[in-house]
Amino acid sequence: MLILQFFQGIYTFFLNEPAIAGGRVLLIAVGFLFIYLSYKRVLEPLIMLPLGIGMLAVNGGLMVFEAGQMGNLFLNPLAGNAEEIMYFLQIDFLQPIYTFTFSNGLIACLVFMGIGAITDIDILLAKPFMSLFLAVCAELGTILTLPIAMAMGLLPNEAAAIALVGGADGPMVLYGSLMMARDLFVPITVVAYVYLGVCYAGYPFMARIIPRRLRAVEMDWRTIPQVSPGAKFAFAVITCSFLCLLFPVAAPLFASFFVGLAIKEAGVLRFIEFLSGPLLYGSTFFLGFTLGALLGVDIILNPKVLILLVLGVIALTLSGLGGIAGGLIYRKVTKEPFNPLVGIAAVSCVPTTAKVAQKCATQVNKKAMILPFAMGPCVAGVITTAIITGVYITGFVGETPIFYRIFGG
Amino acid sequence: MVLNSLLFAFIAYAITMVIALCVATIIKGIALVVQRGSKSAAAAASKKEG
Repeated sequence: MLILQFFQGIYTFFLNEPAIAGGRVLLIAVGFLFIYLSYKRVLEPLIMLPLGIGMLAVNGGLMVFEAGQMGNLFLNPLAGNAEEIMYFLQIDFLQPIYTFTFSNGLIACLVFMGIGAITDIDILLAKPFMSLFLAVCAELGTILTLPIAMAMGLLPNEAAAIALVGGADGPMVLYGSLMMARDLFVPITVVAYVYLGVCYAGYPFMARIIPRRLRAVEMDWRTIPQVSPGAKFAFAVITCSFLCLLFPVAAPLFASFFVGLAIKEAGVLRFIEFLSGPLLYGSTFFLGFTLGALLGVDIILNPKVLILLVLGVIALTLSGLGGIAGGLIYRKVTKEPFNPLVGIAAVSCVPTTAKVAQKCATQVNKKAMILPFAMGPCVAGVITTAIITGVYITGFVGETPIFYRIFGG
Repeated sequence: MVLNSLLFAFIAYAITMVIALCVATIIKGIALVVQRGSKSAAAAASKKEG
């Protein structure tokens, strides 16, 4: 046994209770699975690869400290008072990232700045009603998952946080769950990111609901009107101020997205390079790695995690169905040569769902080029998800949340 | 409570629809202003040439 104390990661397995030791083994195995699926590009490697490595490292790297307590040298999310935080900042190597960028939602905002700087809003501005109509339809999961989650026993704020998975926007889920259900933000965010990867594989099957002849409809992207850079810049500035006025609680998200967008449209090259390169990929890397390091065994021992896993699937399925229904309704109402697959792109998750829509169209008709059209609802989906995030945070956070003021309790 | 949450969800959906409509209107408004601006600029340029 003494020799085992040399290798504390293994030694602590013998000190743990069987349930905890089993949980550690399971999480290490899941970490390996994430790494493998990222390597094979089934899951998004930008986030899931560092997450998987963080996950297996934190569950393997458990050690015994002087007072006989077990812990790791990664981070301690439970550090509450200033003295504790100062202590762990000096000990745990990821604690500065967690304390200064996770606990206040900064990491989500940094990712959003980068996303803003790479987002193309031409189609959104050329076809705003089509884009936003489809985006609203594709929020069906974000809306209906709230009562479903409450029926399954979650608190209103927790239900709202998991419902945001239906918006298919990782940073938004992270920000929303930090604001509304801090205790569950790690499993909710991980569920969101894992399922967003699965979306890519699952939505093509869902798309088969649409009749083959409609999936094969060709759309002429040359008919899309040109939008001037001035109009795009004005849109970023005016919409940012409008949405910040409506939802100050989600203003950091709006400001981050639209500042990236405004910089892109203003053509400030140095900033564009910084936001779309080092900032976006640096923050995405640390987001994944720190999330992985937060996935300790205590996370899966929480009985709510199983409910979250089910609700994540429900949210994304309903959103996908909403998007498809939106596409079919839009086609019926406008009578335009419109491919309803564009509706799937409105589930957001820029640009994954737009690529999925294009992939599904190409499978039935090689000439069907719908990607340019799909980017409009895709970007509009980010805006509608941000709006719902604002509504939910306003509804469920604060001294007396609006939800309780309306319905009592 | 579940029924209340369903009602709240629909309120949230209605708010989202209205705001999305406002955003779409803002976009159309901007397009209109930009279009007018470019038209008047083109008219001014042709006057100068004349």
